[in-house]
Amino acid sequence: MKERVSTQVAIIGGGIVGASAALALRRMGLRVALLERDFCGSRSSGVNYGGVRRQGRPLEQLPLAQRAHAIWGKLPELIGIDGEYIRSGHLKLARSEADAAALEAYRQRSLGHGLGLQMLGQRALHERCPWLGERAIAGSLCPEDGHANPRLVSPAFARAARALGADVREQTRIVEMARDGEHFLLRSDNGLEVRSRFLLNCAGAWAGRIAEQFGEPVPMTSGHPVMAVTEPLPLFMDLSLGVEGGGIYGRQVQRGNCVIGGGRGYALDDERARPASDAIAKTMHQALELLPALRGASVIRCWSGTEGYLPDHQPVIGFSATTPGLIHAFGFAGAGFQIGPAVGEVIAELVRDGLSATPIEPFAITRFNTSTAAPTGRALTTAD
Amino acid sequence: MVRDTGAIELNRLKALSRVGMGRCQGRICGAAAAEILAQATQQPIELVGRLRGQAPIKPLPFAAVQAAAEEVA
Repeated sequence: MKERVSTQVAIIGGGIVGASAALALRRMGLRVALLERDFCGSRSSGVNYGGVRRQGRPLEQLPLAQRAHAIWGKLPELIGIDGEYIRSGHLKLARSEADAAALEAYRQRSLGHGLGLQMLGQRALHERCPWLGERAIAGSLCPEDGHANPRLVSPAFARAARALGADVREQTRIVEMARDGEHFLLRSDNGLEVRSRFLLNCAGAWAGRIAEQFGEPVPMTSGHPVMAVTEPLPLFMDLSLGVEGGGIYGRQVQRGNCVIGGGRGYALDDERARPASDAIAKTMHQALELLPALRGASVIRCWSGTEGYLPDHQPVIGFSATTPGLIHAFGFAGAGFQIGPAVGEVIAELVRDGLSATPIEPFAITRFNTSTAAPTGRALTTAD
Repeated sequence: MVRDTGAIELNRLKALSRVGMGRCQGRICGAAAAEILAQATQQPIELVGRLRGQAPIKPLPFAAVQAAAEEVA
């Protein structure tokens, strides 16, 4: 079967970044094809922890995170479902004086970014959260952060884009990419040929190959979180939890299940990952220390995923340095879910306007110095 | 209901409907769900796939993990 599609913008990767870019581009009235080798939102965008968290991000990400915060606030209007999103508050715990000092230092550094962080000392912390284990000695609360169900939210972005006229192709793996004059020419393993003016590389942990194909390799590695969920328990925890220095995080959903994460899994192959059994045991042990209410409970399912990490744990967002019309957005270091919808809007603006009002300079691909050319941008013109 | 999800494959149906995400993790409901999906999408049952196996194979109590950790220590 041979089929040819001609479009203004082709997007590789139907995760939350690619799908929200498709949605934003359709809202701008541009023609877009969203190409996903599996199902939209079925990889890391759909199987992550579900934290919708600004607190703790590097300061460079906060303008994007604030923009995303506003998008999350109008989610049903945008994607037709609430995605179980709640602004529960996100509490980051300190287990030592040094960790408490680090939380306070972050609070001060992030002043002016609108996070509204509140430090809680030991007594205030345990009064606010009587269900917390004894090891937490302080905490930093971001009242407007929260959590959502990634399994529902990420596919819904692709569905919303399709409803607005995006050409969404699932189970369509791109196996050939080339420049053809001013255009990109993409071929899939199922006989589809896509011609486009712009190409958005939103391929998550696999995006490095696309960058490399266009002459700008990046030092990306894959990481695999360990995730676990308990049977439904009586509601006791009304916040999403993390700890300073990482290691363990948890939330309880409205139907009562607790989702916990921590530690590292392993890659089964290039596309699949599993949680390691010793890491599951360690995560459960740490969760119990943090949340004594889990003592009588059971974990019913564990899973992992494949996330892209760059050495500085910052993403790559912006124009290619080698190829006009190519835009990258990948490498979110296990923290792309919250900012994903804003990144989608920003790269849609790069297509339409050649620039975005939201600062993304720190995420330029040129920081890895794999290419000497300056980033090239050109807005879409009516002739396209 | 099954058709409304748009799923043509069992793991996608799971993600969109929660079938196989309860206490049995599909060990009891998985085969029935596959039959229903095959019928709803007019596919032979082999084509709807099967639920990916995920640890643990039965609910794993926190207390058991803690007891094991104490034994090691």
